[in-house]
Amino acid sequence: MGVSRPDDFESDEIRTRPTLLGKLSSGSNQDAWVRFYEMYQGVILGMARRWGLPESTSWDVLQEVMLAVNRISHSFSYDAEKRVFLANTAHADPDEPARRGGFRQWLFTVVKRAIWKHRYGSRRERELSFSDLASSQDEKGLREYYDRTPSPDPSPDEITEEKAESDYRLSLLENAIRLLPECTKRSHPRKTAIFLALKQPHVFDSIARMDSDPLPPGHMLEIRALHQLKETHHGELTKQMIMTHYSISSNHVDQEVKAIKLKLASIFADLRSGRDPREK
Amino acid sequence: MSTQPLGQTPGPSEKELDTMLVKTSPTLFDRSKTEAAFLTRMLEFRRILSELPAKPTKPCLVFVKGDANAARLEQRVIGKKLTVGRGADSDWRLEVARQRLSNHHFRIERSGAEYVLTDLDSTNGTLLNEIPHRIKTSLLRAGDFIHAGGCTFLFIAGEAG
Repeated sequence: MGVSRPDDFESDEIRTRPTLLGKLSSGSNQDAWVRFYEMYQGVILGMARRWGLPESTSWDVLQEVMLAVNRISHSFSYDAEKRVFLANTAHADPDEPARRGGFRQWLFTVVKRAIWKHRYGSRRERELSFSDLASSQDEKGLREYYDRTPSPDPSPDEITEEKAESDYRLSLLENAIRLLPECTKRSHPRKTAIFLALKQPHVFDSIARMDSDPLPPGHMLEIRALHQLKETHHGELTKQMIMTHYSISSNHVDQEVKAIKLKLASIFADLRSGRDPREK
Repeated sequence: MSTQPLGQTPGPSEKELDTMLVKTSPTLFDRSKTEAAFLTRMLEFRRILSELPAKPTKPCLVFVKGDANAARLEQRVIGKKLTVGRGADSDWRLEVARQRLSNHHFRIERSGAEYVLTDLDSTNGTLLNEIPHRIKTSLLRAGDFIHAGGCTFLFIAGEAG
């Protein structure tokens, strides 16, 4: 099992968008904070979930990370020569030797540590139900319940670079899919629906069954129409059926799918580089 | 299948994209309600921190809102434990409209490096963050909001976090 070193985590040169962090470091710009949250929350939750943390604990990881970002947001500096923001990690972790590095490098170190802490301490349930307390009704019993579980070890040395990178890339892609509607033009609801139906059928089915509308109305209209088609054909939705439904050629369907793939790759690259893909 | 980056660098290749697409979670769109509530809470936390006259250096409970005889952003350091209620023997005694707060409503107690919230069998219950049901006991994290007797409190772990 390899030892993960934060310095080696990202081999390519990655910089977080200076203007966004500049606004964040002012501490008062709510819009910048929300944008930052929107760009990274899906990635952080995705990584936590992939490391086997339950949903509620994944949100605890996100809360811990966002608070850590808040704590150091006043200590960013900008290296004009290297065009990169630096974060003073000493503000975030008193046990860590003072070290200045890229903000995103610091961020993902914090994420990995938080995931590790919660994963290692997974026996330490955040909330106890009434049944859990059946044998711990008195205060002493309750205290013993918490005390007998070990304190989490913050050392994330079981998280290999390869695994972390793989999880990170998959989480970036999931976030890219979620951001698709905000990054595509008016004509793209149909493209998105076709792409989801053919390339992401598990996601497509899940969206169609939701009570709420997780995508804009235009996208939901196309998705529901295709899903209805699928249901009338006993759960089968082929490329041929889509061609007939929209009266388009096979080549046209391929082009629609390819267009979304290209868009996803572009959003992915933006997220990886710390650019907001919606600002184009 | 091409292994060249699909579009701009550092984007994935088409082959990698196809490999990853089969691994995505089916529920990746299924978090919007939780997200909205979570984001609202984080923003509220940031706002309160910025409004505090001095950044807390020790774990404390901050009174955020409620029809009670406490000033907004009034704080109590938790120490080993802190009980909150209407009772005269509560560490933080609060008078609340329509007596919705019990005499001994909830307690926060230090357990090692953690803090534990316990509802003291209150009549109207104690709620935590976005959790829809009454809780009996729960570990507290910095940035948690506690709702009890029509009042809202914020838990701060110290060092402004």
